[in-house]
Amino acid sequence: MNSVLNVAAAMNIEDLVDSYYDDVFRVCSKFVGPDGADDCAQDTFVAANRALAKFRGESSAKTWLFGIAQNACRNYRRKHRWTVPLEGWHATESTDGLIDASALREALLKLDPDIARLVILKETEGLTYEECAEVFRIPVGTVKSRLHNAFLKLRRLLCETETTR
Amino acid sequence: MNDLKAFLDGELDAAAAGTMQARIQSDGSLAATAADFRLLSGSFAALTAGPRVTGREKVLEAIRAPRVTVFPWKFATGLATLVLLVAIGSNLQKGGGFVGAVVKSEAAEALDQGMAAGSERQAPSTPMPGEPSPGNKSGAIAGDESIGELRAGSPEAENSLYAEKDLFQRKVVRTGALTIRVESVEEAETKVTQYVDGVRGYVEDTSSQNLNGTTPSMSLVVRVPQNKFAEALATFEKLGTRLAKDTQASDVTQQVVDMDARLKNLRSQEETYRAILRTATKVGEIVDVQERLSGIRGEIESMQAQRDAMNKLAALATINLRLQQRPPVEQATGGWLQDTWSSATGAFSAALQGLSVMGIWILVYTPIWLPIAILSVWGFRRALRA
Repeated sequence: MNSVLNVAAAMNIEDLVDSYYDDVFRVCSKFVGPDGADDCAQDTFVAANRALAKFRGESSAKTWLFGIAQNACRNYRRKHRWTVPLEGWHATESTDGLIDASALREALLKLDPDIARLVILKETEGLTYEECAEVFRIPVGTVKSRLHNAFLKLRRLLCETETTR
Repeated sequence: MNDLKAFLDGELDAAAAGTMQARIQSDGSLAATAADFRLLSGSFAALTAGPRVTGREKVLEAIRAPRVTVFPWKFATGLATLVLLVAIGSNLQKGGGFVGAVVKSEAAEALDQGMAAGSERQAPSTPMPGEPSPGNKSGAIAGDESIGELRAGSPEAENSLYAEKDLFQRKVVRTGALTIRVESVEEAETKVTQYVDGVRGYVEDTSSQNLNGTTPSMSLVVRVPQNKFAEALATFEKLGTRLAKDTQASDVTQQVVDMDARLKNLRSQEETYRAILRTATKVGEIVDVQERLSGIRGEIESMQAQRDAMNKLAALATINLRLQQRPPVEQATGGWLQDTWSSATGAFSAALQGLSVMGIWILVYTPIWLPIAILSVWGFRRALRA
């Protein structure tokens, strides 16, 4: 199904909603919090519906939608304060040996919002560097360096948090 | 070092990955960092559950609903722009306008183009015969024509002073004073003389000062026909830069009428005394009547001279024209730097002036575009929500 949707000519907005709404909603909820996720997801698909004719299929439909979602979330954030990413999320598996979700959230909040979104998209959605570059419209090299620096900073922040405890 | 995260994410090619692997094995701190990065990635990856997915139906409804074409903000903006352009265009047609306003205000324009504005200080508020009506700035309309227009155009005019035109021609003495800065006094004088000759006027008096100096000037007393008064002022203003302007008008109709009546009376008395003189037989009576006749004749001649002078003044307007030559421009000592500075500051000043004029236009038209803009934004947001 997804491979078909990658071809612009075969794309139908309702098919896109069926296939990617959950992914887009999830990403939006990570970007703006659960309260604004459905608004942003709706804005994403409405914008995608308008821009469908211009989509040339150079990237995957999922990446394209994530790019639109990223803009929708940015617009949403202009009207609302920078809400907590990953709010309402928790580790379902055993957290032994893993970092606590709330600590992760605290650390993410201290990052630049764009960087935090990049980290979330990469780590929770499993996008490749190239896909991240398409979503954020930045070079792959920039994705690489931003992710590396973000992880260094997260590591330092989490170490500081650990020390204060 | 920057490749560590990319290595852990499997984004490096085989060669770079091999190199990084070797470095991690040999460098303990790098290995520790790599371990922490893995831990972080694993912790993110474990966050697989999230809030319940909602809003899918809402999205489908929004997509399936026909696109509402609300009062579009683009259309509204275009409409407002059109209104503004029409307003500016109509103003430009009138001769003032957006660009003209930068150079010259409406008030100054009115002052320039019609001497009526200046003469209104003493004359009645409506144009006098031989004076251009507000709609006609050429100043070439004859008095009878303008009165005809007045009568046809406004009923009030019927009751105005001009209704008396049938009984007698109104007499208005007009004077104006104009100071102009010109490039060359001699050239300007020639042009003034040519113009005055062309309109059947004359230069009554000329005096010049400092003709061989750096700032020569010349004063001329120019007489032009009444109906050419405004045109003459406008023509003289074009000789250079107007420095000062003053116009006055004085209605002497009543005085002329009084003089005519008194003259008629005196002539009647003269005839009576002449009749008495013809029938007088005594020397005493004859001498007495002749003395009276002589006095009356003197009065008649004096009054006739006054009336003629008044008529002459009323027939030709007087313009006291002073021409001042522009002092020679000092050679710039600052060279290109000063020139550039001067032209840049001048241009900046003009740009500021232009922006101010634009701001005033926008401000004045606020009642038109602001409600449209507010409605547009409201409609646009409503459309988005829909």
